[in-house]
Amino acid sequence: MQKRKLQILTVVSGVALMASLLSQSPVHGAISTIVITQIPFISFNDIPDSFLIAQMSVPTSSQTVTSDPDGSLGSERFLTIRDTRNCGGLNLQLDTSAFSPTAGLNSGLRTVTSAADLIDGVVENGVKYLSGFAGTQGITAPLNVNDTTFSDPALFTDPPFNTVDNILNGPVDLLQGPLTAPAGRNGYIHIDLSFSLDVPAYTIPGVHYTTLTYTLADDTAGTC
Amino acid sequence: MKRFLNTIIGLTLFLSLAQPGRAEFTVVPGEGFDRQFNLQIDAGSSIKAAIVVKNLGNAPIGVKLYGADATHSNQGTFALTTQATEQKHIGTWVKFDEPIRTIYAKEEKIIPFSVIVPPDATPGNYGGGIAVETAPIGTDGQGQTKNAVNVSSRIFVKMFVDVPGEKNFSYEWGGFEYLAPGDMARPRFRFAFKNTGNTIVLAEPKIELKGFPPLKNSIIELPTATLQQGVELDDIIKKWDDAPILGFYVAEATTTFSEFDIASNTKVNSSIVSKTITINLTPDYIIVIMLVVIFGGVSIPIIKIIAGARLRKKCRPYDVAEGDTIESVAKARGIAWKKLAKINGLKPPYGIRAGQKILVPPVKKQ
Repeated sequence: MQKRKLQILTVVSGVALMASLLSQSPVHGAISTIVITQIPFISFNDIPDSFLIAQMSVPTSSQTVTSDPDGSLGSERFLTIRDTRNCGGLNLQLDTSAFSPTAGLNSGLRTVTSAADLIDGVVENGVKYLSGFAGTQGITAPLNVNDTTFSDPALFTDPPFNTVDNILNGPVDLLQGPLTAPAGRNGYIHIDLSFSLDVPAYTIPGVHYTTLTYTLADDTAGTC
Repeated sequence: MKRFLNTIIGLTLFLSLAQPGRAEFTVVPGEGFDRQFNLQIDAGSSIKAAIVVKNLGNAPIGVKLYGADATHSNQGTFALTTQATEQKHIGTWVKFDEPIRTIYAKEEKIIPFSVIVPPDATPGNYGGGIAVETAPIGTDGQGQTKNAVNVSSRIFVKMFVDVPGEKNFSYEWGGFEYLAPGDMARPRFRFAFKNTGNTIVLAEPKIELKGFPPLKNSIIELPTATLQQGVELDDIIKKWDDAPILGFYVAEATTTFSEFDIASNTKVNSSIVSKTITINLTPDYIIVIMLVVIFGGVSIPIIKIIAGARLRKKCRPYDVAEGDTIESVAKARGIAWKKLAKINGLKPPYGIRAGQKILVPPVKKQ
């Protein structure tokens, strides 16, 4: 009796499954499509690595060192954001904790950005769009220096920057994009970063630590 | 017990992942909110909300969740304080039961939190956000730093809290100033704003330049400055990237001040205020050259006129004799014939005839 019940159930299930498949099959040769949806999001795809700026003897006069002393283009400086929202703005900022044990070093830590690296993409206002973008995006990189090596310390202090704009004693804007409805934003946004540090004379010996915090946020004016 | 274990696992992941800063994750507000949290909470009350964290990568990540007060960037835009900063309002009002979490690969986790506004909170509007932060790259398994400069990343969702009560939307535009290049390579403009009320003030500055020579880009736009309660931004700097070397301009700065209305998520009570300054882009050395040119251009003809008048005063009448020419008379007195012609106002071909009276200078002593 139990076996009979199971057979009936199997037949009924099979008929139901066939009916279900037939009801969803393409009609008159139409091509069925599969729509893959994903939750729109912004995310860090890659951020620059931690680094040692340089090891030096205790300076008797102020010295400037950069994070790229050899001028090599390393992957460690890449910052890539993924944006799949198709609409809306974003803001990327960089902040730093006070150096430990010498908080005063913060007054000489500077950063600049560039989109002039070897990765293929479209550059607009100092920002590189790697894929999936159409039209002007309107995002700007206020600290862009359009440089490939960052090896010249003057990049961090001379035109068009000075100690007011790019010094890291508070949050600085790396990317500004307070947008409403840009066309087709669904891809990767890319910049490179580099840093320089003024080390004051007679800075106490030892390793001085800091933590850089990259902060990403939606910055949409109005609704999409 | 489960919560304890989750915290332990999260803490371990948070501290020990080799490169947690590279974690690909996203953060959005929970159900009922679009892009940011706009809340109205009475003093002494609280609400519950949630944030959604999705791990987009293929490995688990440890994240730290916290509320933080708003601050501003070097350009005046909305920014969030770091957790190490002393928190005064939203940063202390937001409470997570489990502030350190593990998010497994591809997992989407809805994480609840409370916003508890203390009874003594003063009415007004407050800005801040909910941050989701990874552990710094460069830390070892014990959370100790290995490199001098370590890196962490965070994504935050803005939060605005309206504590009902009397509202005062007021602001001051402290200044609009032109900063000559000096040590800097490019001239700059400086703005100063202050929020003197208890609402959130949005300031949208713009500069229009008119003058000579005409500029290709005569409009300079700045990002919107977000002024939290009591905040004074006196150092919003905007470079004038394509400033010409020479020129005279009138710069009219126009700032649209608005109150940010939390309930409607829009700008209200907007008003436009203008300030105008004049700019002389002429460097000092150019002014010196111009003075020399102007002074030279004016003084040389005057000197010539004075010298000519003095010479004429010394001249005596002379009766032109038969066979005299302008050249012979001039040669006899040791001056250039052209000079003699000029003294007498002679025109080409500079002919003189016998019996004509002309002025001649005294004969130069040998």
